Amino acid sequence: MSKPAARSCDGRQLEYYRSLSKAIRLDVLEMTYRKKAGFIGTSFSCADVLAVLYGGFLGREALHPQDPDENTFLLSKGHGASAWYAALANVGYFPRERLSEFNTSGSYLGVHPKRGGLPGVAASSGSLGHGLGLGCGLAQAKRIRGGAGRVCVLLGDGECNEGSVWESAMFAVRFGLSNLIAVVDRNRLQSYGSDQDVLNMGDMAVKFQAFGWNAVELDGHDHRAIHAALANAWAEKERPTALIANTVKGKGCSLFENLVLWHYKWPEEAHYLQARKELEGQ
Amino acid sequence: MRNAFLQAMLEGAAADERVSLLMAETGFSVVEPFQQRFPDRFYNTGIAEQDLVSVAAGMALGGLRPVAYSMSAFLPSRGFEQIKIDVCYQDLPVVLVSTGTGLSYGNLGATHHAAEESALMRALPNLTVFFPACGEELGEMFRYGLKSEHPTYISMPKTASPKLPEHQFVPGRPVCYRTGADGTIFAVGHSAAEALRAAEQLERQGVHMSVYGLHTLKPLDAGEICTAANTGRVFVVEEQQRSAGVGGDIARILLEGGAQLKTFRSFAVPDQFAGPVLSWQEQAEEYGLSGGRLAQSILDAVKGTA
Repeated sequence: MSKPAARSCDGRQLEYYRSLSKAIRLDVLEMTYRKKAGFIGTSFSCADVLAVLYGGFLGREALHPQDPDENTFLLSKGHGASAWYAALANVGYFPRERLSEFNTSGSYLGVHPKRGGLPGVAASSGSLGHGLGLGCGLAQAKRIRGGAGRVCVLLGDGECNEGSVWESAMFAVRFGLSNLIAVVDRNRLQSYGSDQDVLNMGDMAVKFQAFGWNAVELDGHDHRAIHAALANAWAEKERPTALIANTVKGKGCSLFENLVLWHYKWPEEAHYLQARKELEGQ
Repeated sequence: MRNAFLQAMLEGAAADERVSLLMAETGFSVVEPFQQRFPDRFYNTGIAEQDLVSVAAGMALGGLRPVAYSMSAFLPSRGFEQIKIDVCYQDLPVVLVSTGTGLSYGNLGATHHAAEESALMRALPNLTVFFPACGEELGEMFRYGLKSEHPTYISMPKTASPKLPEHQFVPGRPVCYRTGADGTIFAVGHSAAEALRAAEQLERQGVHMSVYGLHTLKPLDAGEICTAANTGRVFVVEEQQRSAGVGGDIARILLEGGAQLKTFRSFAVPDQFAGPVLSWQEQAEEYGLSGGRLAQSILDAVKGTA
């Protein structure tokens, strides 16, 4: 069921979000280090958004996208799969031990997520610019069928280079999909260079507003701010909401932060040990 | 053909409330009756084929039965990755319908031709690919697609539905229109009408041809194709690029099946874009795909291998 959340969160809730963020990052670190696969920079930058989303809004119940009353999450930036798996495991969708299957031959915990591969993985992704359109169709389906479920789609800011994102942005407003929430992980670092050097997406909240969205900017590592923004988005009755979450790629370990290299690189032992130490101290 | 689509769409939506129609600004003077009767199940995504396909996939993910409609020149190519990933990879029950297959938009030129459509769609796992020969087949395919738990692609020509001999539609199975001992024509989709015209002309010249209509391009019925090729002379007719059509697949099936052939010819669109303005009929004539040109080519081939 769609669960209304209070606009503000108390100290206990904040503490839970913090512990969830830490657990997600530690699990991502283990997966990328041990399995030499995955994308640590992008997974760390969205860890706090995922912690609040699953810890406060989706809970353990976002399992059946075809249920119109259930909330559904879609990871459009599929290269952040390790963070998604870690979030799902840490709120109880499947035993945490299963994370050791990441990038293991024969398993379905792929570098990019596959629909049906794991409980909670509602859609496949890996190619960019697909999730918002899927989210539009799904939000529309839930509404046509009279349900109260929300659809939340996490996109990368680099992903928004894709024209298909903006086709879907127009559709969402035209059909008044107030049950659709797009979170943009605005880490300003793409796979070849900085956003500014590539296309310079500029003020993304203004861009979404110009398309007719209810769009707000926030600190994507501030649990309290993420919670408040999601609560407002959940309560929105007229327009789709875009949350432009300003983040730091690789956030959580000084070695990884803001470096294109860590879009691709897997930690070696020295990186791993330092990252563990920094994360455990948080 | 498009009226058959509209009728099937109306029936499908009346029978199942999960059925919705999405279109990308294609369908003027065709889909309006659907929009009037089912306004809350009709969506125009605008001139945005990528979004058309993604939204349809999302609706299917949400338990609906969407039909996504656009032009053959645009749907499979502009929406290709969305068809591949959102629909086929996720194996969702979406019915994709395109209009204007092959060269049937004639004088509108190469931007509106879709002579590569068959290759694009046949390359995708989980997708059943239909090219109807007539409106009746289109209706049957549509009903099949709406009941299927997997994705379906239906490509129709812009042209009017031809009058073909009455026949039964069985998904996957070639239609045997006529049998003759001198050679076998496999005709894809709307090329069946031209192939039958060629066979009638050849009959008058004493050459007896079998004609099989191929409406299901994926999966191809290898067993039936091998059996039908027992005349020893095989001709494939399709309004697709030679490298994009099923001609090569049929040759492979026959080789793998150990067929002993005297002749194998593939009649298709050559490796070129449309040049000067030509109507659909003129283009078919130029590329040797009209009934008359087919009859001549087949006659030469049969005589040469008598």
